[in-house]
Amino acid sequence: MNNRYVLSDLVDALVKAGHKRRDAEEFARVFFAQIEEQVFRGDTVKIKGLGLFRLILSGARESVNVNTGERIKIDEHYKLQFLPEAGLKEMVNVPYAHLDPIPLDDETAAALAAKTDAVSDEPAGDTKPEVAPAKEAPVFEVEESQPSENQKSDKKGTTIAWIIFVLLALALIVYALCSTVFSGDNRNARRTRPVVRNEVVTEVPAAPAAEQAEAVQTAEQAPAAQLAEKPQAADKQAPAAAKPSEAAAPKTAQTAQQVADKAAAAVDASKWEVQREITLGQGERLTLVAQQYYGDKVYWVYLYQANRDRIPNPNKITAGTKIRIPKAPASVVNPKDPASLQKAAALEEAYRKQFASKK
Amino acid sequence: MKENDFLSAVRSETGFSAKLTEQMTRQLVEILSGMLSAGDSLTIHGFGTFELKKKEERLSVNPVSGKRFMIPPKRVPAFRPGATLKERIKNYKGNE
Repeated sequence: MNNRYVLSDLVDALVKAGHKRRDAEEFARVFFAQIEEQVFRGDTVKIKGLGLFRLILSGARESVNVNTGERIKIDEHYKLQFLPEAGLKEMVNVPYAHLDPIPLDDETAAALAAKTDAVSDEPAGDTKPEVAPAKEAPVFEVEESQPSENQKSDKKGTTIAWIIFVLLALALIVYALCSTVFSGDNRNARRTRPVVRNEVVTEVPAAPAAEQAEAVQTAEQAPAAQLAEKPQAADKQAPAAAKPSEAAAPKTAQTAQQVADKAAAAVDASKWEVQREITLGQGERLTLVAQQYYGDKVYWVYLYQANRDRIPNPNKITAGTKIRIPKAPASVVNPKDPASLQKAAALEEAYRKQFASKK
Repeated sequence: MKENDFLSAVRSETGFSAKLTEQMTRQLVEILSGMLSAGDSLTIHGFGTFELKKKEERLSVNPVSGKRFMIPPKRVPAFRPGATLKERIKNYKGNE
């Protein structure tokens, strides 16, 4: 990670691949020189597995001198463009390949926009204590809890941890600001919650009663939740704010689990026959295993169900954990069946809520 | 320009056989993409730097439906021309 190689390292690698050093040197030199030559001849140079190089004309435009604020004219000029091939892009993006775009509702989008404002307002936000409830972080939560595994570098891990920490701190600030500004809006928050809940109910058909109960409970626990920035935000932050320890969490967690269980109805992966057992290596997570065995990452929920005794929190899985891979009946796990995917997604949502507070 | 034309240009410069050129090109590409995947950069003096760029997650709006999306972060390969090459590009006035 972050090594800066030069031409001679490339040559060394070619030598290692079994070429004479003199050949490798000459080849590497000529290779790049030729790209340059051909490009200046006006050609587009395509190299399989890498991409294409070409010179493109960039038209004249006006710009502003950042120091003086003066308007300056930039003449038309050529630019060397490198367009990586799709294969290379994919290869390079492997650590993030499991992330998909997440559709947002308006509330969430507004909250995120607010967060960006807060960044410019108060850059010193990271001095705030760590009790900040995860308000907007959950967007990529399940995946990002272990984002750095693929590189074995600690450095990246630290950076990610740092980023998450800053996000949390920002969340607290936004939250604090909002609560001072909108104190008195308390009732609104309570009113918002059941509405939001209803959406979930449609997704999780089996559990209206538990849902309601939970909604009431969390609303009461959340005197400070004036601004429900995110649909799920309130029930996460309620327990976390009351007592930041896990002692408070189980209540919500349990209800969430009930929801999940009810949604699963007959589906309980822990009763499925175990097909095999694997040990998770560095960088593996349930979603990847699910993708591999079941054909879609959303089925990680069944892996979790089958391994609840070994995985206290699916967001935090340590390398070396042994997990059971149950044999999944085709009626439940079928990546081609939208109903099956939907069901798993509903479960996923429930688990997300359940564990969001224990980040 | 197809890759074959490029390779034959390389061949005529080096005098290597077609097979060797092809093989070395594949290996070079493989080495380079391996470096990029690992998050490393490769600087070719006088030519430029192949490197990895991290794109942060961002909000995006589907112009048709108006629906908002959170686009996940990603890593993309990139090339940055070096000083010598930049100078040459600056003085390049097209191919007429």
